[in-house]
Amino acid sequence: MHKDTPSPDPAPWQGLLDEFRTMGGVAHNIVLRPSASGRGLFPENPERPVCLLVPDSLLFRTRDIGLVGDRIGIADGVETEPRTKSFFERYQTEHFCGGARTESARLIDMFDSLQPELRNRLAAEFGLKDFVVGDREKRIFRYFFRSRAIRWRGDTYLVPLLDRMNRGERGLKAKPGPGGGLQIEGSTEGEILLSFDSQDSLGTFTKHGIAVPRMHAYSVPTRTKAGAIELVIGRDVTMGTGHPGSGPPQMQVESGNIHLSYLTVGNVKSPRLPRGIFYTLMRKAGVAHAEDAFDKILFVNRTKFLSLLEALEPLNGELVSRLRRMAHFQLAALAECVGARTL
Amino acid sequence: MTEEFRALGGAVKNIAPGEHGLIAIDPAEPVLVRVPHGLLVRTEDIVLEDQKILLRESAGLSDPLRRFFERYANAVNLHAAREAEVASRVMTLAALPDNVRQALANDLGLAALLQDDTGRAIQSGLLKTRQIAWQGGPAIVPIMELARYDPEGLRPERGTNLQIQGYAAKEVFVRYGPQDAFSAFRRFGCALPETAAFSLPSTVTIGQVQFDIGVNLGEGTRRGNDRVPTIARDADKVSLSYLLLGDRRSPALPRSIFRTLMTESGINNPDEVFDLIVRSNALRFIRLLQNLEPYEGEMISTLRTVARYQLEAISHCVGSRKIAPAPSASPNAAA
Repeated sequence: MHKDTPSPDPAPWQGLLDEFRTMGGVAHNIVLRPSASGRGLFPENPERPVCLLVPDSLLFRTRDIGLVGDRIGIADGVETEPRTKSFFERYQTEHFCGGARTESARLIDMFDSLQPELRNRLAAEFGLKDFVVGDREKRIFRYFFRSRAIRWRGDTYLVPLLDRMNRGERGLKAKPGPGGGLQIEGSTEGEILLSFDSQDSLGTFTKHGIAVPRMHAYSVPTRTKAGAIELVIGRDVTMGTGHPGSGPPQMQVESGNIHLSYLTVGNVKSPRLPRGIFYTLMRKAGVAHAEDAFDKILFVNRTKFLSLLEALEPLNGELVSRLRRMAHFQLAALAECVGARTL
Repeated sequence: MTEEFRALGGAVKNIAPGEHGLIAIDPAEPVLVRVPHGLLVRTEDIVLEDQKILLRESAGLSDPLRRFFERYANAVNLHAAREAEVASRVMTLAALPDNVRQALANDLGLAALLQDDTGRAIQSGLLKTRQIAWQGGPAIVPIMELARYDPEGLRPERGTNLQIQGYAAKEVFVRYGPQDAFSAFRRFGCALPETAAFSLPSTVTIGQVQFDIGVNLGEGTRRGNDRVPTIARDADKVSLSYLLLGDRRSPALPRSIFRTLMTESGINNPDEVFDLIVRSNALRFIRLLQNLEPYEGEMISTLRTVARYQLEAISHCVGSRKIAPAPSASPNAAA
């Protein structure tokens, strides 16, 4: 736990937990403790499974939430049952003001200490503008929001107790509860972690501010030519035609351009898949020179992260190291593109 | 020593020893170093005994040439600066953290420079900095080998003799054959953004076929304007003398060469094999970067830069184009 993060005060936490349970929530064998990431959830008895069930009434859409002064609250005009609203705001006050804000501020301040040129590059080329552009307090809040929200049923939610869970590659997955709501259950010896979503290393860093290896890499937003056709590659992994991030992207053809919602360019488990998907899409669109186009996309991606490493080379510090490790992980995933599978 | 060199058929014009290598005495005049064939000694004919370079009998040199070469090769005043550079590099590498040294030794083939016997490591490193490719193998080239390496340096001209000639602003640099960023570091200790990237020694097996990639850049043939490695094929093994993975000037070339050679050898799905070799190389340098991460220091920084340069060159592999067919057998086919 970072030395600036306050230790959890057990009384308010226990009070909130009790109220959570009276409002229909289930929290078996779960305690809040200091962790390597600040604070996290742990099994009280590691030999027993944990279970967390959050009813629908306690799932709060992020678009209904905002900053009210320096506190997180339900935005004006959003109809919420008073008891639910009160619980949410007290819960978030304890969470955000109780330690999460300090952790978020620490990361934002590290970004602010980078040279302006590097900050601008991170914003313009790597989609990290939410860390570096705008009012400091709003950035702290947005980072907290972004790193703690989850995507559920096509929308984004802040979910009490779940938002205390840190993420891990082997974390537990959220699933529908037996009577609705959202449930996490399973056994774990150490900290209870939530699984990452389908983002790659860059996307995980954008969302959570941490550098972790992922099994795949998506292209950075880019444009290239395939013969006379302009290919526009986006980076919205929620817009796909299969499981988010692992199936083919959405493809739109308009005015002689082809737009792909995203493009997988490396996959550790299925290294033949990235080219295979791309070639299949280009065949469907009647586009020739698909091999050259894919090579160019890979080149743009590799060059981008190598260029970031070049910019970071003369620097040191915790955030610089984290950015380097993120770039290493992304490059490693980009290397996992071998051959092409016929789909 | 230069008088004796000239007496044995060599030529030296407008050159003098400098602090680190060779310098042009008058930059307005061209420099020349010409080394007769008889004075080129293959490194396989050299032994190191008690830190002295001696020639095996197999070197086949006459007595005057042998005496000159052994005196030249062991002249401390000629080689002191370079030996000090190599020694410093070996000691700095030896002081690196364990995980970094293991990555360098096991993944990247630097075990000879990292061996516990630092004396032998220095001699091994010194020998590597001094050799040049000559007729398919490495050789020591007296006088010329005193010049330091630079990718923009004078290119050795190969004919009856081996020579360099041209203009130098002050220090005379030589481009000792094709290098990539990693080989330039391994041989000369420098971090330079070379144009190309060649595969590390690699073995990849797909199905029943084993692909062995070497690092003998001197073994190749010409096909039109392109230089391709030599290939040997038997039932379940394909061996390449070397393999180009990326080329900033001609990014369509690497895959094309491999694809052409494999197709001619009856190998199916050459693209997947090529991708596996690229992947293996890239991951070795990425692992080095990951191992370097928590540390700071001059050598750490140099290694980071070298790994990045190598990865940049590897990434310059885009698309493909036609490669000229193999020439018909002729005495002049080898490059």
